[in-house]
Amino acid sequence: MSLRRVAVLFRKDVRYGARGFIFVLAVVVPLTLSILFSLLFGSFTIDKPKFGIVDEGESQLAAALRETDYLWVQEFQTSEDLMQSLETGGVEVGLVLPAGFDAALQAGDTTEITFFVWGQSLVKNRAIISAAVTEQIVNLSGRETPITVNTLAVGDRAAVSWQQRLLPVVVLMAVMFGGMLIPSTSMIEERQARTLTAVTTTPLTMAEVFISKGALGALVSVFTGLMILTLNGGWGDQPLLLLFALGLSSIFAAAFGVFLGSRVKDVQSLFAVIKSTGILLYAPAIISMFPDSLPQWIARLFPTYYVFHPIMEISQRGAGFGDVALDLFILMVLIAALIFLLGRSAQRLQVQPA
Amino acid sequence: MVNHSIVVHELTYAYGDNLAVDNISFEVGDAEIFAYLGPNGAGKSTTVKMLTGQIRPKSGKATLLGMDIAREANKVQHHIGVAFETTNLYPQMSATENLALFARLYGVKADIPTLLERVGLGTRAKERVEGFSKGMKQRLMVARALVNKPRILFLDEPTEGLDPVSAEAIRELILETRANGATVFLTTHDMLEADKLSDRVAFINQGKIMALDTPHKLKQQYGKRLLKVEIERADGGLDTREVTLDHAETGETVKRLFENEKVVTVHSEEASLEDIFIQVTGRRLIG
Repeated sequence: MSLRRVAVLFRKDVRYGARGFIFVLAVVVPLTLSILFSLLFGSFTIDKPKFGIVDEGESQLAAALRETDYLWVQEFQTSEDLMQSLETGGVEVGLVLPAGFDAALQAGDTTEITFFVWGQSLVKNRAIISAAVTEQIVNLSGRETPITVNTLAVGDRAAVSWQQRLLPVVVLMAVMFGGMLIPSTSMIEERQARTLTAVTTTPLTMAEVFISKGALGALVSVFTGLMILTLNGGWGDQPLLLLFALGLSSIFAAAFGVFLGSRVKDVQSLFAVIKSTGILLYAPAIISMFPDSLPQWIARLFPTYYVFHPIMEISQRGAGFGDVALDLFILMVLIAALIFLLGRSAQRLQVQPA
Repeated sequence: MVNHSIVVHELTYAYGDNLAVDNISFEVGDAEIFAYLGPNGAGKSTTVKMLTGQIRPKSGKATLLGMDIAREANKVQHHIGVAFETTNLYPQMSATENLALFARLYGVKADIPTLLERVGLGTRAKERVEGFSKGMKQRLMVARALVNKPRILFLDEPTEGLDPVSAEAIRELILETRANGATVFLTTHDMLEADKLSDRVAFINQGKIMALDTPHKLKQQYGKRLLKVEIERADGGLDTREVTLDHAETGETVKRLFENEKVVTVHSEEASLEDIFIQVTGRRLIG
């Protein structure tokens, strides 16, 4: 195999393919959907934890919290206003500071505060707000005052936010859509225009064609995947492990795309296949949207479960390598199976009747 | 002693149960123009696919430049150029970009402007191929096949459907390529073209080679040389008589015609490759 020849074809596809409608579609659709979902259900415009405060006595703590640059702080006139906002997710955590709070703090009397927490708020945001408030209290009192933080849930505690529910679908779409569509359409176009025959009568082999097409799909897949995770604040604590999982998922998507491209007759048929089998591709993510009502083991029956699940585990739940090793191993087995099928496809492409 | 660029020995290929190429054997010498003639479905393209490493023979062996194509396709492909019958250029790329891409795939530095000049596309080098006529595309494909200075050039119906100027340009290029030392393997329906260009021709039908020799020898072996004599009748109309040459009584027959009839015209005729193909295979090349 020659990496130089792979690079020659890759460069040609980047230069001429990137201007095509499919390429733009593959990058733009997942990003647009993610932005749309964030605007509808999440906090795309406000990426900081949303904190609400009722200051009944001009507390220095309220002023200090307003100054922090890692919280988005909204002040309310009354406790009722704060509760109303908390119930609809306008703010994620709320705090009522009674008159005389600062004086009591200085005297060492106040050691207990109560956070009102929106039931669907992200755990990491609750933690950030809690840490920020505690830090400011210590600064104001000038001593390591042990503070007891109580939490009181407001709204549906068990519910999962729609942003969290939709994230698997968006991540899966980001990885699969471009990764699959770009190599498959490129392969089909080369077959239909018979340029595939032309290039493979040079020293370029079919395997090199597959690698080149797949590499472009995988790169686009990684790019859109990273963009989605960045937009949704989902890099987690282990970016290298996340990149590894995303890389494997992208290779799976690209290999599947090359396989489709080597088998499907034309672009119309490709879209028909994607439309008819799309539900199977996205089924595990859809099942994951409803952890409270659908048995989650069903999702594991679908190959694409192993595409998004490790990414979600690492980025959203702080999973380590040990937690996702089995999923990643299964994904590697699936990739190996696809590569085997691609070998058969390469032979098939070369023996079509003259 | 003749060196052979291509040696084919008992080569066979089948698509399922359909035997496309049936145990064929032949050799093509260095710097020879070898025409491979046959109707659609005769096995021409399958033979070319095997010789260019696109498919592996089911049995038999083909050696190009001393290398077994089934085992060393990648090495062989460095030294061959292929121009296909059907246009397969990148339409969104310019003529120069198409050639540059293939030069990079071969890993060679090609003199692309000169190559485009040779096929009469020097002034259209930067234009996108999608705006080219069929003749221009065909010429560009021949130029592309020459980008790596191949030692064996495969041309599949290179002048089919072309205007006379484009067809003549390609014929000149074929002769020029041979003059530079390359072997040319030409598949065509066009018997006149094969007759005009090739050193030897092979007739293939239903996967088998039915005849193989120089056009001259094939005509000698299979064809009849004739004299066509037009004679004016008493009523002023014309009759045509055919006199077969190379017979013992030919001279006497011609003499009698001139003595007894009013001869208007005399033409000598020899069998065409088309006639011989029909005689050998029992079918026409086209239709």
